[in-house]
Amino acid sequence: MNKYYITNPDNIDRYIDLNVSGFIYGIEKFSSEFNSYLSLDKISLICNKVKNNNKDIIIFLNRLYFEHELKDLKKVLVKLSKLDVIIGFTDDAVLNILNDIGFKGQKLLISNHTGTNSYTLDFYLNRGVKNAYICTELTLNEINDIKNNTKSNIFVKGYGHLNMATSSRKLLTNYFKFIGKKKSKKVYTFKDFITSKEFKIVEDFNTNFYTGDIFNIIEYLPKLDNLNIILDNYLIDNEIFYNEVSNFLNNNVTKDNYIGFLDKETVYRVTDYD
Amino acid sequence: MIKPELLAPAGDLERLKWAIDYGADAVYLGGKEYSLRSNAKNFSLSEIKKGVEYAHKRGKKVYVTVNILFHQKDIKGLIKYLKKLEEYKVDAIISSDLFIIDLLKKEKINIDYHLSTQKSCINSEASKFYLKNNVKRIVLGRECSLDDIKSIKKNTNADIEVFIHGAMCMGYSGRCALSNYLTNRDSNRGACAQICRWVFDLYDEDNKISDETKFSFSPKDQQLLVHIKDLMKAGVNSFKIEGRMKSIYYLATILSVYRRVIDEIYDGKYKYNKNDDIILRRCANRESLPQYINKFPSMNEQYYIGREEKTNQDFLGVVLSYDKKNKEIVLEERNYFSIGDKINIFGPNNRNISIEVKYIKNKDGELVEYANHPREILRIPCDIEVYKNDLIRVDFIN
Repeated sequence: MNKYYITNPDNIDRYIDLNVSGFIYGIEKFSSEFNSYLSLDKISLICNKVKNNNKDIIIFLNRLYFEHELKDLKKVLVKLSKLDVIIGFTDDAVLNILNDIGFKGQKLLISNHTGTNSYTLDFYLNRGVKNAYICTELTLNEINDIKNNTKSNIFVKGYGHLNMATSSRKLLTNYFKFIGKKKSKKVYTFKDFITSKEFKIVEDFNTNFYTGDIFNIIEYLPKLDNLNIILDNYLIDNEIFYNEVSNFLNNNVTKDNYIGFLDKETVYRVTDYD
Repeated sequence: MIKPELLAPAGDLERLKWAIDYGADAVYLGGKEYSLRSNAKNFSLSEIKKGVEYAHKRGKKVYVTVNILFHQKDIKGLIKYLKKLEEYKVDAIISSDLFIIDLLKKEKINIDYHLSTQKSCINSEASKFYLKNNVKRIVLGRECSLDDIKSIKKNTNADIEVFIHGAMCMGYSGRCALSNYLTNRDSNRGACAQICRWVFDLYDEDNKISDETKFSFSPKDQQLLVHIKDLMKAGVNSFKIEGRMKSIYYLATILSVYRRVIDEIYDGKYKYNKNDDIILRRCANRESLPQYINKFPSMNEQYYIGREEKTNQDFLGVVLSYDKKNKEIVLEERNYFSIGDKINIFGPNNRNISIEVKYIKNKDGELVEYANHPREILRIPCDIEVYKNDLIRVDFIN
């Protein structure tokens, strides 16, 4: 049976009613790719409420950190370690600090594009990281292969825009400066001339690139089991998102969704390219 | 101050030899399997063996990239491959997929693990984690500033490798899958289509932002010549040059400059010479800047319009031999030159002479006005002895 995790809900109660398994939050300065961020104090309050309903809370520390940020990162981790939360991390600096401060709680590897095989997950499992959010550029068979070959607790993306790339450069700011115009929006789109596909680009701490289409795994649920499925509302309207989450939890299968690489393997030798 | 290793790319066995002959302390190369840059020629196992033998005979090292992000099926054959690399005495592998560390231990394969820049390690806490897990060297992310590098070295004493010259990724290395999404070519398994060099129209909802200037996110190249001294003071162990697909002329030119600069700094004899900067810039076909090392990159570190990728025609020929009796260079031509042109001949160990072309003889001994047949064997006069595999370029300095 799959479990469902919701990012940054606008209204916790209605998702608790839908019987999701937990909530994912980002915190100010140390997380990325959330519609809004919480302070540590606010997370503490939410923890009390959510835990009373037997739901998990996962904090996503899903950035890479520069040297000058480490001092504050340590302070945040010390505070988080006193809460009953699962700590997700992208930067192995977080894992090192958590080990140093003796964190006893659960950890989650947020691998972004890099968690592509069970052996890598086992590397982290052997070092106390029991949960892994795997790469979003995998086929359905690859996801199941990974799951069947590791004891790591697997998280996959089930719904939301897919991150295609992250740059530390201020790519939008720089472009607008170059053309002498003011950057006035949070989200912009760009088009591929060949396929006419649209993609989204957002600048925060980093510049992130996303699919214009919303990935939706719902049709493939019968082929996926015992997974933790993340339903992500980043850049998506709250009501649309709620309805989609309802579909997942009530098994209302929608058709013709964007499914990313689930049925399409990438090639990696140009001579193989067709 | 430690003397850092100068680490060069080797796209094939020929380039490996050129790199070592022109001053590299070590080379990195990719095998036919498990390596990014699947478009490069790359090395068969027997070529890796030959390359290691060539390097070790000259006291140099060879690192092999095993730097794809492995999907489940890619792991087939990996143990056998790693055992072969050990058997051939490869000095280290460069990888970002950490499971290989455990695999080496489990299979008792005695080969060092260098953490690839694909892991984008940019801080000392992550570095400490890797050091605790048997990583022998960390290739830092190119997003690190000089202060970051100093701090990481000070806080970890890690063996640190830093890129000093060449092309850069737009994004954090290993965290860009634009190629996958736009072309279905897997960037983290060696088929990156370099989407960052494409141009796009940018929209604010349905409104195009600019008709005149396309949106792009291509970074200019990196070039750290003026920061080499500071990086040596910071204790960087290895200076890496990017470009496994670059020409022998590019390799020889870049290595000649950095070899001399590193040696002179180490010997306390270095004085900045702007000609070095000119030489480095002219042999590349893209602009180069320090990028992250001294400030956070701005719009100046990117291309928007007019990428100015120029075809370089400075490379005139390769010395095949020197005819001492007639005081003539026997050369194989690469680009056009003519009588009266000023040329520069450079080679390993700081050989560098400039002459004017007084005459040109073809292979039949006939005098010709100009050289305009690439690969043609020619003779030109030179009073000073030059050596096989010295290179001839336009004398753009004098």
